[in-house]
Amino acid sequence: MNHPRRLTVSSAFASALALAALVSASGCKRESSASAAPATTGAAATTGAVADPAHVAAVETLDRMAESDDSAAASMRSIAGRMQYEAEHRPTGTIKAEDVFAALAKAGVAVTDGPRQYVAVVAGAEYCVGGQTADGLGVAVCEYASADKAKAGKAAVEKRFAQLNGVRDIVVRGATTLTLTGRPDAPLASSKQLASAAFATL
Amino acid sequence: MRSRLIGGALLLAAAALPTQSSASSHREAPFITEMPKVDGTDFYVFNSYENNRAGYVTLIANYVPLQAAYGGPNYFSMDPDAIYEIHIDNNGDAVEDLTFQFDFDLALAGGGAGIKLGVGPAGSQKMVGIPFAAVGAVTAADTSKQNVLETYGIKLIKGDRRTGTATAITNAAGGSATFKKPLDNIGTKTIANYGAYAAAHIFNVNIPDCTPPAGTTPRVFVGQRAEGFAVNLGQIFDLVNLDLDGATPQANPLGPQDQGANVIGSLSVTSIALEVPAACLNAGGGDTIFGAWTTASVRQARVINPTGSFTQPSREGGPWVQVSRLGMPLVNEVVIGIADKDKFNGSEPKDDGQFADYVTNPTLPEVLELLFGAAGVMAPNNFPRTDLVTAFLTGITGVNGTGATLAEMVRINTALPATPAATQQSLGAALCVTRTATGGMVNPANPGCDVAGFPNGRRPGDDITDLALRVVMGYLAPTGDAPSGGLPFVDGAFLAPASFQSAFPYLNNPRPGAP
Repeated sequence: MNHPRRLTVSSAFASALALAALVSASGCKRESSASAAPATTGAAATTGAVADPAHVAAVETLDRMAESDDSAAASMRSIAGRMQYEAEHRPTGTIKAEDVFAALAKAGVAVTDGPRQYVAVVAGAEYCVGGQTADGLGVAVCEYASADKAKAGKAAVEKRFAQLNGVRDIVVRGATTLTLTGRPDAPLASSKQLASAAFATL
Repeated sequence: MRSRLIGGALLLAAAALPTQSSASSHREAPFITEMPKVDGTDFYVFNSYENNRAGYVTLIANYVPLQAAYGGPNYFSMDPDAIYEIHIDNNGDAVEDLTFQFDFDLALAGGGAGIKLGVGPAGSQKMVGIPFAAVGAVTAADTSKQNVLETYGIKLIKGDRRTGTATAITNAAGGSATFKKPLDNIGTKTIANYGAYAAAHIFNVNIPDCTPPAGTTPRVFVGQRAEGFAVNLGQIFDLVNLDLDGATPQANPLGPQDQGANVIGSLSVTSIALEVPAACLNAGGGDTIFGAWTTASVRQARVINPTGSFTQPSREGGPWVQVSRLGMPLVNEVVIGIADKDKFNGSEPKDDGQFADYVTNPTLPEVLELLFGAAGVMAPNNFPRTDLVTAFLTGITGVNGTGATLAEMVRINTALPATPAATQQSLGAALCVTRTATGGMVNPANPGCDVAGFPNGRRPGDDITDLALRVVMGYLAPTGDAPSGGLPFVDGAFLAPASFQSAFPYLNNPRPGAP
């Protein structure tokens, strides 16, 4: 039996902040950049692979922020700060997450547990929000800077979180993606169909 | 580019999760960071798997975190003004029935004067004390060049740890109640063969009212050991370094177990290792399950001596106050809220109902969903998390359950045979569990099932970070309640059971301060 969590975005922030404080308490040193390199890279070793320029640019931007003294940089020092940054820098010109959730609710696939903000950079996105429906369907909406980046984000998620590919569908529409994750014991195909159809109308 | 990338990563990593923490309980609470000598870091309890030690249980309590090999000149002695204890509850009431209490002493050679060297011209030399822990080569047979001498005594206390009956544990060879602790691994010029030197500090002991298996004797060792824990959470939760394009060799939260660096692999801890016949730990009457945890306590008051000396830098007084507590790994580090971490360190298992919300409604899965929800990862929805209550607070019925009392301890069933080191599973007993619609079911017939591993006790080679990530995401919960419970979360730092010594004290020799 599922019980909707009452964790709101703000309490999620609180959780993150609590763990952030935990880290401050642990206070152990991190190895230098040289020694932090993995001893064995395993499957992640892709010698000769070329980094995605967009990813590299994003990282460089974050590095510049890390080295600056402005408040935006300071805010990036926590998950909450990262999410705040993402919330304040949503892309324009694409389908908004709020509109997607409204359309889903209208189609009978309302997110009852959430929606709450997710860290978007994990999916290569600018902004993500998600939650679960009453029947347990996981719904995540991510807004990207461009349609190409949305496609690339979908591919990256399908590669990195491949174990979920059997129960997860990612639909791309413009620069917005709709990620629908069923459950191992219940694929929730009908809910996925309804959600996808509603997304297609936007 | 590489350094810049990691530099940016540091900012996010520094606030995400225990990215820079080092082991299952290193520096996990604000107050204990002020007292590293009494900071418990890891606690192991397992049926001994060394050859010919069937019937024994090994208890290892690690203290004094983050020891760099070059940490001279004082290195990492134990606190002579503290007591270190290992508690056993063998009747399921979450109250100690047995306590092994270790009390350390620190002294200088030469009857307390320390080793001195004659300095100056002949005839008018002055004898001046050396600033080092040793002034020449030290071996197990010749400690004459050793300037700092650390010893300890052990008591077995039956009943309440403070008011019970205490009896000394003695050396089986000679009957002394004082044991030598080896110097830390200063370097190869001071201690050429540290392995042999340390091994000479493994003592056969007599435990009061304890009859060991025929032809065997219980053992004790206290000394520096290589850090046995492995963790790489930094890269996992280091959002900037997430490998979105396949070109950045960073850890993948669902990738191989051995893909990342162990960020604490070069450090050491101080181990209190004790090997006791299982029959002397269990309650008897056929009961083969007990719970265990370790604590450290200091005197309530400490007054700094304004004219401090080696023997009396401060004056201690008042009753013992517990400041460190450790049973199951990672509990105080990533389960208990920061406001209660010091409270937890001062608490006893019998009162753990006060912390139940942290287990029944944990925050870590929510943070994992927050981090990876965009990719479809979902936290479990079964509240209260009875699956975690089973894993952390009661034990698994039929395996190592101790009843309904909620108490955080390492529980072990000593009747389940030890698995030889060569065939141990790094995921402990996880493969014994089959996920079902009603929750995890223990099935010893499962391929790879290693029932002698965590959470049935804890061995050095049990990769409890990977296990903990999976369990908090619902590995033991009903499949319908934990849609991501079957995902193979990893931190990327691999603990290989075969990388540890297969004989007491099991944890490896520490790295030398100089090659």
